[in-house]
Amino acid sequence: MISTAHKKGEGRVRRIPFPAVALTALLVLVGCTQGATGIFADIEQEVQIKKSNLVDNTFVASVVQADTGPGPRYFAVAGTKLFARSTAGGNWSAAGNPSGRTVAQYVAALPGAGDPDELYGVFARTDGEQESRLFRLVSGAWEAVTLPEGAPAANVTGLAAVDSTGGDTADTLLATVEASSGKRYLVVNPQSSAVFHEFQNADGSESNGEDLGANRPVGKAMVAAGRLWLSRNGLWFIPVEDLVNEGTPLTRVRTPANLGSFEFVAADPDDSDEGFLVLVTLNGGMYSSPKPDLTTATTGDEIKAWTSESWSSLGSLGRAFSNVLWLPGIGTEGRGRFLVSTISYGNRSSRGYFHADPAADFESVAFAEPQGNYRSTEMRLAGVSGMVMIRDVGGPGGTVFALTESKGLWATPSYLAGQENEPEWRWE
Amino acid sequence: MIFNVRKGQPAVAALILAVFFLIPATNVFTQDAVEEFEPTYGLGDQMLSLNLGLFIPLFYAGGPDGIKDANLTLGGTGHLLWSAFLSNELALGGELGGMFAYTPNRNTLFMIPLAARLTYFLRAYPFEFPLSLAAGMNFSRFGESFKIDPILIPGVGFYWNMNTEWAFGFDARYWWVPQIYTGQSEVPSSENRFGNFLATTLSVMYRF
Repeated sequence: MISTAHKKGEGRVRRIPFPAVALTALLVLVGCTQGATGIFADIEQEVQIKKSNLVDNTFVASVVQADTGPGPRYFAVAGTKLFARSTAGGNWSAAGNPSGRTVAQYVAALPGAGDPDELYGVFARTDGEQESRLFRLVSGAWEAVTLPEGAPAANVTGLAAVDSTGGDTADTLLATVEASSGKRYLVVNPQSSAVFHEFQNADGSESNGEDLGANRPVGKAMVAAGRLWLSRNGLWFIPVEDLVNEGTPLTRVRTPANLGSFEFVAADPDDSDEGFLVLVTLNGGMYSSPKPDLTTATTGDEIKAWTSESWSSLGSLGRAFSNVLWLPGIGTEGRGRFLVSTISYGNRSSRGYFHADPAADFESVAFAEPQGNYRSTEMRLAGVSGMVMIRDVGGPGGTVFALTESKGLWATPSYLAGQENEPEWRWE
Repeated sequence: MIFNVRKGQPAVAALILAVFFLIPATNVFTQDAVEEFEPTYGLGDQMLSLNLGLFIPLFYAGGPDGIKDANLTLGGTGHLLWSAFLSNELALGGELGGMFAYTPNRNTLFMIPLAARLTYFLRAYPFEFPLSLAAGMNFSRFGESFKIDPILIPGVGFYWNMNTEWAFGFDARYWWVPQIYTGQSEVPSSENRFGNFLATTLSVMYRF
């Protein structure tokens, strides 16, 4: 800047002090940031992640455990294929698709239905029909499961297996199917009795229903307090004893908007007859169901009377919650811990998953990012569509799986091995 | 470019002789008589240099756990420098560089510094020892994260002048990168770190 001599009264050329220029430049520099974590801090804390050979950068739709003959194995739908590996370790290998079916979509196992465990899969063909069909693995080969003559629909849009007693040993297969009209039905045990149920709203009006699909948010089903609960974009219920009775519809429960998923928190971890529901939303909210607790004696009319305002907020975070997994007996004073996963939604970016630890009175939760090697994982910034806990066969431990939208499958035994505060994740 | 002849420096003269005997084809001066001389540079003279070499990650400071290992593999680095001589000893210019190194999970850190550089030359012809200080901005990319930080690069070099135009040498330069998060972004200020690295490069310098 040029400064010239000037007469009194003439305008001065203002000098901008160098420190101000330097400070401004510094602020511009430090203000240009993209990302959720510090780069050097991130690298400083990175630890090497153990890795198996499953496809890395893909969507994982479902993972189950089944012993179909050669010993217990995990089965996972990753990308368009079904893979399997021994629960004892080792590499994943392709489990094979049925002939002409190029896309694996869902997998479910019924360890409680017989010996060996029954394994079911939904596979689509991509030759223009886009039809998804249910198959059963018999002696190492896939056989199509044929729905009864005159069934309202044959296109399978989701698959799940539940323990009708509320335990961990699934004995009932559930499939959602879609008719050409777009109306969906829940089929109970499509491989045998194939009982169809319609969906209806809480006020009794007809509903097109929804599927148990693996799209966001992923579908979930469980039995608790004497009912089957099923969620996708909405939460539905049907008394367990009516599952095998044609004509009883699933009823939609009024919940806070943009449901992500739900869990059941049992008053006694060994008894699923009494407790309350916890749900998470894509708006970042976490809620517990209205008091008093749900029991087998709670009537359907009482549940139908719930409104979105009936649910109590447990806390919120500026993320989109896609799923929630309840792990009883761990964490602070053994109160249990929720693992709450996130996906990108609206202007909310995905951020792996969070711990949500309940307060002593269970009126609130505290969110925290997991420690251990989590920060070094690719899962940390990924969309995690589902979290699943699979107990070891005949043992107290188990493995928590995180199913991501684009970063494959992650697993850790830490949560059920007394190391819940330092989980060590492995990239499958 | 100006050439001054100096006398009374037998050691320097011996070195010059050695160079001339080793690389006679590059001798652009008369060989009728061995003269002791040394090129000098001034306003209007410029130089370009290209450096390539090893990037040695050292440590991070400023975090809650104090000084921590940089947790990166040995990497590669290089830079292109242009400078203009202000006097025989002083040159001012700019440089554009780059580096890469890997984390334990084979993720790659890239940094690209763009800096102004002041160089002071100590000379014992045909050798010279540039002392430099560069300051500017550093573009860091790691996965989906990106950050622009200030950078300071003090350095020292050792060069042999093959002739008045070309010189070859070695540079050791210290990269100091204060990575400051003000808390205005998603990143908390607890993630502030001061990155410390060493770039060791072989260099070719051309003056014109």
